[in-house]
Amino acid sequence: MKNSPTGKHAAADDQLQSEIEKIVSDALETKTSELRAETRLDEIESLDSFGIITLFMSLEERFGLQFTTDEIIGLKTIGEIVSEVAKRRER
Amino acid sequence: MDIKQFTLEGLEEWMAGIKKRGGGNIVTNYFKQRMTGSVILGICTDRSVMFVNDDADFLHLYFYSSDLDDLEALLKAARFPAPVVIDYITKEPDEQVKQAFRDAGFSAYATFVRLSNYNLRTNEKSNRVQHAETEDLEELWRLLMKFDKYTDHLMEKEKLLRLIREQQVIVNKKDGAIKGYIMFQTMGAKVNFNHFYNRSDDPRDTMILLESFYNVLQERGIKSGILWVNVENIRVLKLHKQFGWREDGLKDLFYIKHQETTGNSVE
Repeated sequence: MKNSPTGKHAAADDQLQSEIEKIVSDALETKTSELRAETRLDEIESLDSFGIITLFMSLEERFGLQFTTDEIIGLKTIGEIVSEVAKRRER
Repeated sequence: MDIKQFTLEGLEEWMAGIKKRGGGNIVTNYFKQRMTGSVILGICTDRSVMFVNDDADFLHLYFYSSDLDDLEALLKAARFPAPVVIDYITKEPDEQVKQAFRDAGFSAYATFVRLSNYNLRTNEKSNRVQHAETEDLEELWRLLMKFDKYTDHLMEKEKLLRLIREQQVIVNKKDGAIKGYIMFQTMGAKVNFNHFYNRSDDPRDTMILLESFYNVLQERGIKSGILWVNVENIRVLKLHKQFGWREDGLKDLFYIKHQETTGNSVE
């Protein structure tokens, strides 16, 4: 059985997930109700080059971090973005 | 009014005379720009200078005047064998100057705004930067020609080759084809961000290309820069603003007049 976050951590992860879904929704002009942790960015119909830039710049501004080009290429799903942001915030 | 061939030095001397006679109230779009062609043809009066310089298949028109009525008369009188473009860079466009262009048959073609950035983006070094190579010249040249020849100051092939050799062109290549590029020119610690082109199907490639560009600038100690964007290109304006670029108040207004066949000829 996988370990799953509980209590405070789970609530914080949910909040981060919601916040990032909102940023993705605003940047890519899609509905938050259509977004899940497993949603791949390249499956979002409205995704284009400007949306990607808006997304990563918004994430950088909101969380005060920068993404490298390798990360921009490597982060495929919303869940992966959430994990990466959470990991960086813990550092 | 005679249309004659001039040297730039001769015209500048004439302009100095106009300034001396006319005082400080001068309207001009000539700021010692580099001439694109070898031929300079113009008309001079006591109060105005108007001259054209050839580009690919059109003419750039420059003026210097202490009397707008006099300038308008010159603009109206001249007939040109090719489209003529006026490139009027100013902070506060003079409505009378714009009206003089319109009265002389010129149409507004485009407006660009200048963006400046004094704190260019810095980031971790990327290994994805690929400088263009001399063998890319022809393809880059072909792609460069997709830009607007009237407004985008397209460089000559020789200059593009020089930029490639100086590593001032970065490319995104996939399967041997150029999917995007950025051309720029550094001057000391500043950069002039000239051309940005992307035709990749992968939405991430635009950001990767831009990140690569900022990485190159960071490596070279370039901290500030300028670029020009057509005001109608809202998305590109927004994109650059996300990277910290801001409008600095300078505008570039383009006017065009198409070929005419009668009257005083500039040939």
